[in-house]
Amino acid sequence: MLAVSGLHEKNLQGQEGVTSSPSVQFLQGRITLRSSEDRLSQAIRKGSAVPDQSRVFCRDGARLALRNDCRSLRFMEDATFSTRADSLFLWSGACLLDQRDKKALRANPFLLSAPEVVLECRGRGTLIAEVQTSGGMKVIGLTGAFKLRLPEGEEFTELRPGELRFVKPYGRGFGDLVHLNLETLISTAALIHEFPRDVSLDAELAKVTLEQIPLVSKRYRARVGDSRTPETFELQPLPVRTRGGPGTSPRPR
Amino acid sequence: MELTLRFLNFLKGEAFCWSCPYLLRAFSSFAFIPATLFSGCGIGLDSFGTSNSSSKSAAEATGTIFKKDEQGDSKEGKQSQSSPTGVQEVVELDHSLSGKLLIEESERFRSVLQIDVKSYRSSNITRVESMGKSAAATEYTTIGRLEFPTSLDLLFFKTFTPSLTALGQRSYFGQYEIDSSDSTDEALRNLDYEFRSITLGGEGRSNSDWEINLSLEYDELLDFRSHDKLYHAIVSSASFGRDYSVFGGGILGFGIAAEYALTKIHQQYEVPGVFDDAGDNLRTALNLSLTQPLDSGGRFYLTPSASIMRTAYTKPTSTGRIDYLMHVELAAVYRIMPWLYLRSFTNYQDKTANEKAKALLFNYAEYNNWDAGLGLGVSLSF
Repeated sequence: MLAVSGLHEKNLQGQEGVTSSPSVQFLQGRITLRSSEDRLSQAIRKGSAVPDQSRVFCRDGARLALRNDCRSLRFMEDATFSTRADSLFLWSGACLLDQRDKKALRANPFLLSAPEVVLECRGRGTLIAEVQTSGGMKVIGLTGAFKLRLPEGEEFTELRPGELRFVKPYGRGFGDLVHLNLETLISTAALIHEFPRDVSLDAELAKVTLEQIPLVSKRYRARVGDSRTPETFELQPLPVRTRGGPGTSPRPR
Repeated sequence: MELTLRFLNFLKGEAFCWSCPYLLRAFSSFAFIPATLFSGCGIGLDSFGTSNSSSKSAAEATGTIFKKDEQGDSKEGKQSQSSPTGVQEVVELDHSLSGKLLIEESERFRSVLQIDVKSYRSSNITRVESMGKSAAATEYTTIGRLEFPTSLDLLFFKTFTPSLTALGQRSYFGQYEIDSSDSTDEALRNLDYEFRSITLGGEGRSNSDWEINLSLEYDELLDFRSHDKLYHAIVSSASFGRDYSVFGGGILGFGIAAEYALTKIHQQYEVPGVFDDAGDNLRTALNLSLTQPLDSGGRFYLTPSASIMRTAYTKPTSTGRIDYLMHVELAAVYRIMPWLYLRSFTNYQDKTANEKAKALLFNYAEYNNWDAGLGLGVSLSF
């Protein structure tokens, strides 16, 4: 974990000043910020920048959206993270990364880290990332196309809408590709629909959902769960009531 | 027919000027519906759990299947239906998605071809003051639209998209009966027409999300049997409007448009007063429309709309003539496929006019009319 943190720090320092630090665009619920210098907790306010040397804790009912020049990030309860202009260290929980802006192509690649992995994200699009019990990370493409690369790797792995990849801890690379039903995913992911409406994101999500429908050749009564060991992940039975997914979940928007 | 031109004007004023054709507005507004889409749609999906494919799926390759009571406490319960990362249902795809963003598409040239066939019944086909005879009409419309790359931060616009639109429409009257009272009189063939237009326009969006549209278009009306031109017009228009989110997924559109037409009449159309061909005129319009999805799948929309138009003639012989047309419509659009839609509609038009118009048009100056019908359309994007 220390090695990963060190790499994260090194990379971050090399990119300072290229892009502005993210500032708070939306917040709700219990969110605290703890500075690494004085270890004191302080409140986080809308419009304020998130200090570099700090860790943010999203508690009960938390909804937090950060934005800088070319990217936005969303977090909910259980997420703990540190962030800078072009990077995010996700200690726990999940986040939504939205870098559809054209400026993202000119900016430094986004560095997304979990306790035991570091991932370089290039390209334009939206993805969800979630820290796994194994220390690795699960990444799910929502819109656009990302090119993902591990620090020790030379080759890029592409992540397109509806594709899930596990980033295995301890330098074990990527897991196999899993396709997800976007209709079910998008309609049930609170990181998407429990935030202020973003019309352009909604449009992109609707587009990919429509695009995927005729391409689905088979559906399984199973959903992807946690990865508790480096080489495995869980497949859980999908309750019958989730069939057709979206209709079963009222949208709170 | 007036409906047709009013419809065309509606297209000009609201749709083409405010982002997309009116029909497409409902058709494409799925884009604004967070994608709780297409529950149970019939696309040849197997039932759940039929994992008897000969090919090994990715899930089978690496997954460990847990029964519910074996799941332990790692993430169980967190991935509920409202969890941050949602329900990650495994599927197999024929191939991966393109990964093209809509915003990327706006940065290049793109084109749309829309073909629409509509059959409807008009209660007052000749648009006369005393209730005229009813008849059926068939309308074929083709719209081709080329959109140029969107410019960002141009003047006071956040985005600005120039476009070139060509429209052709042919209408046939009294060919068949929808109701037993409908006329199929041969004389109704004289009402048949072809309308063509080509529009160069630009759609700008301000930082406050107001849409401002400017356009210049050429219109002409033809008798397609004799190939005679009935009239042509050069129309410059400006409009502004704004969309508001309502009722969850609904979009309420509000707009004001003004256009000035320079017209030249070559031959009188069969029914006077229907087309705005009696001389140069200034038209102002107020439009209100709602696009409301009715299902969670985003396939079924209700699109009520209302507009009031005032047309004031400035020269030569009709100077002083003013017409007012109120148009109220209720339409439902069902998208059978992403590119194919079915539309049913009913609308009411009430035209009133000033004394000058009455003196010029007599029994044709004012009327009211009900239309109702069905349409089938195809919309293809390239």
